[in-house]
Amino acid sequence: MPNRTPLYVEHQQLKARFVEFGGWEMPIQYTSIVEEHNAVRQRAGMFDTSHMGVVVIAGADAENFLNRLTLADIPLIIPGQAKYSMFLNEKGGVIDDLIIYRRERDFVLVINAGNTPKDLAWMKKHKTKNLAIDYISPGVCMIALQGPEAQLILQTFVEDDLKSVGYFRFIKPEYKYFKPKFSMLARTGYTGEDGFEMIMSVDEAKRIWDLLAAAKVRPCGLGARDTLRLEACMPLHGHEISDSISPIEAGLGGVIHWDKDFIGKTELLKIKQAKPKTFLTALIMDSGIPRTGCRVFCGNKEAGKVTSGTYSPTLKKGIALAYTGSQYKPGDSLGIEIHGQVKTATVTDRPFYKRNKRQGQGSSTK
Amino acid sequence: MNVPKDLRYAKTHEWAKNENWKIKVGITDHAQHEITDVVHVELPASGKKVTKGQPCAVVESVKSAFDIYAPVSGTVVNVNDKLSSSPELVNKSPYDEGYFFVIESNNPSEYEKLLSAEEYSKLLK
Repeated sequence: MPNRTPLYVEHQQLKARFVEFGGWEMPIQYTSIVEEHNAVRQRAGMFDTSHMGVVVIAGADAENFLNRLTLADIPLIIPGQAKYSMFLNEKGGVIDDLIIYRRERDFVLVINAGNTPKDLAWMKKHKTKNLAIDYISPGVCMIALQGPEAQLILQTFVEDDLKSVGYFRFIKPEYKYFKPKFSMLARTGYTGEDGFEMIMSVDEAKRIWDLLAAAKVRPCGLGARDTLRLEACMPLHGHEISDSISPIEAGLGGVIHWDKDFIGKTELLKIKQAKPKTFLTALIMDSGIPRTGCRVFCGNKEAGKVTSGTYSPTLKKGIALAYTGSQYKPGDSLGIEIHGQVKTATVTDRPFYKRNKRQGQGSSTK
Repeated sequence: MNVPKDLRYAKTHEWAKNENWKIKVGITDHAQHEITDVVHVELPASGKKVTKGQPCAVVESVKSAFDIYAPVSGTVVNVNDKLSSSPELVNKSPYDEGYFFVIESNNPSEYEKLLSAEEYSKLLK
């Protein structure tokens, strides 16, 4: 039986359609993926992301431990700062991508639902003496509020000035109506819009979900979460990154801090020095909708494979990310085989969608 | 769910309308509701021969693709070109503007064997 988040009943009441994802029974959509997607691009949407794994790393060795297991320069991260990073295996492949939040006395990691058992085993394998690894997911919920009006809406429930919470920064917020035992509020997300992710104890999470619903924030499912992240070209583990793909091949070399030792560094250096063999290529269709696994063609020759493909509600066209054996430039014409027919796909710059930054939305670098 | 009385139905949720043995085909209100946002329809070329029960078109939602099966055998004599620019017509008007194509049938018994509105409604329960 798949796991259910504490908000499962709320989703049922909203007549969600469910899908199994990463061992969890999650809403794929409530009314329409396109409407949910557009709500996030135009105003705001909320997601139950409680399937994500939340792990607290504490103890005297916590900093050294994470510095060795992830690609981030952990001593440089200050309390209140979040960092996107990865666990690598010895071969330089990505075990998982994650966000590291540094608190005053410990670190909070948010990892992918489906990779949680694997990540926990990996961390335990490399555990040192003065270290506590605490998987706290069963006691907390995670809710993402995303969209250009996210700050305006959330501010009505929070005492802190949200303007002062920059991009990839987080606070322990003072909510107006309740005081969760565990609570974090970060300006992060997986949609390409401004917005927040809140982690908090279960009872209060239900209340904030209800408050946001009363403020007419649209509930959004995993369907919209996927179209939003793909338009923004954010990687999904198992698709653009995996145990057999390095961050360099995924075009995410920027997350690697080379001036330290970390697991996977030796192999990663070899990959860096070798001639690149694969390239992540973004493609837009004239017609048809590419899907994961579709073959990419350059003329008659097979040139690669789609890692993620969907219909883009913003562009109103099929879009895809693909691994190709050569590097192509924007405007190049390739083909993607869909239902047995090769259809025209034009190479484009990443991302497919970039929001217009407005004033008063956190903009410090991550 | 809307199930018009004057149409015939396949178990795979296509409807068929007999217009002088030219059989107009689309998907039912139930099917469009289950698929939700129809964002692309792949239609057969006009002139293509199709066989009852065989896939002959694809309808796509944001997340998935669904095969459409020919409810009768024959030759495709007309396709709904409007669906290439406005696939949402399948959601808005499944029995009229959102039809898929017309098959010239050469075997009247195939049409006669399709489900009646009453039988199809029972299937949905």
